[in-house]
Amino acid sequence: MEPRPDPIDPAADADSRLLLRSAAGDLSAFDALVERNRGRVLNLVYRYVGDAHEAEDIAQEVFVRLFLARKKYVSQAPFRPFLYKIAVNLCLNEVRRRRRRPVDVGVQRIPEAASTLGDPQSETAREELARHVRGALQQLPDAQRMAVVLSRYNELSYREIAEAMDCSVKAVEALLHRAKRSLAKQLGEYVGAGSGSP
Amino acid sequence: MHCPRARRALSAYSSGELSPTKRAALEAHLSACESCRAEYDLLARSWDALLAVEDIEPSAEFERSTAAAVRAAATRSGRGPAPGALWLRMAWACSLVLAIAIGGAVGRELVSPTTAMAASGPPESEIWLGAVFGDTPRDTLSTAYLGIFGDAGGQGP
Repeated sequence: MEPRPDPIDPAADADSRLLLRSAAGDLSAFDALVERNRGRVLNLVYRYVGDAHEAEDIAQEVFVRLFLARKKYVSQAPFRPFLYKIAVNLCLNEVRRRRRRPVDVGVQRIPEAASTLGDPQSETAREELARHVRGALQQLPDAQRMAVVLSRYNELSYREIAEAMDCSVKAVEALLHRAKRSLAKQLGEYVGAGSGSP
Repeated sequence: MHCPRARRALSAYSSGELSPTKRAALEAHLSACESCRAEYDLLARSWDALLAVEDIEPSAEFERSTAAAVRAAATRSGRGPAPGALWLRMAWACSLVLAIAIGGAVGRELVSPTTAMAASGPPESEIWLGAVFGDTPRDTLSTAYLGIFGDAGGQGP
């Protein structure tokens, strides 16, 4: 297993160009940018907040903030960390805001994922596992959950996570170490026997 | 590599973040230590299990409402602050200037030496606040101090 190299992502270059065009006043370039990144942003927020409707509201706000910050974007800077930083800040703020709101305490509003065709038994087992995973994710402290989402689902390196979360690489390492141990403890009885892959 | 250090490295190993040297040392340890290998297996399986949560698709409404929200933001940022907001800011600024002016005038009237000394008539060169103790006989305070502390303790300060 090799350490993850720094990605030179041509897709991210295209995103950068679109953001620069929208900074020059081209709104259709920004629409294209939203279309290219909406799934990535929406799923990041969804896995963090655990609610699909709320995730859409926050993801929309991420794109509005990205639009308002478009003139601060420097052409040589990588686009994804710029986008992730906005998304991470909004997610963390949203969770803090929700904690101040005295409703929905203890209510899990995570929708079930749409089932796909396949063996009904294995689908049921998979859905059951997914339900436990969503529950375990929501049990993690905010910063650990965000680090897990960025690492596991958005496949960011520790350095990229540190940049998005505005902390050190050592801090990310510690967050993920604690998070993985918690997840192993919570999901231990649901994951089948066998060898995991690094 | 010993077990505590190996266990601390498992997380970075499962994320592919260990340097080649540390990775080789950890792999050597895992091949020899059943307990650490079992811990790694559990950690890796639960990490893999996270992928059971599928992606969601944006709703049809999402694209439309995001485009509308971005255009509203573009309009707002293009025309600057709303006229109402401008008037409100100007009103606040005027109130602040007025409050400072009135406060200054009242304050000057209260502490002005010429006003306070107009009744007693000391010369303008005298420090006005000193006039508060003007009628007190000299050494009054030091005599009182020695009377209290000098006699009570049987020794002077």
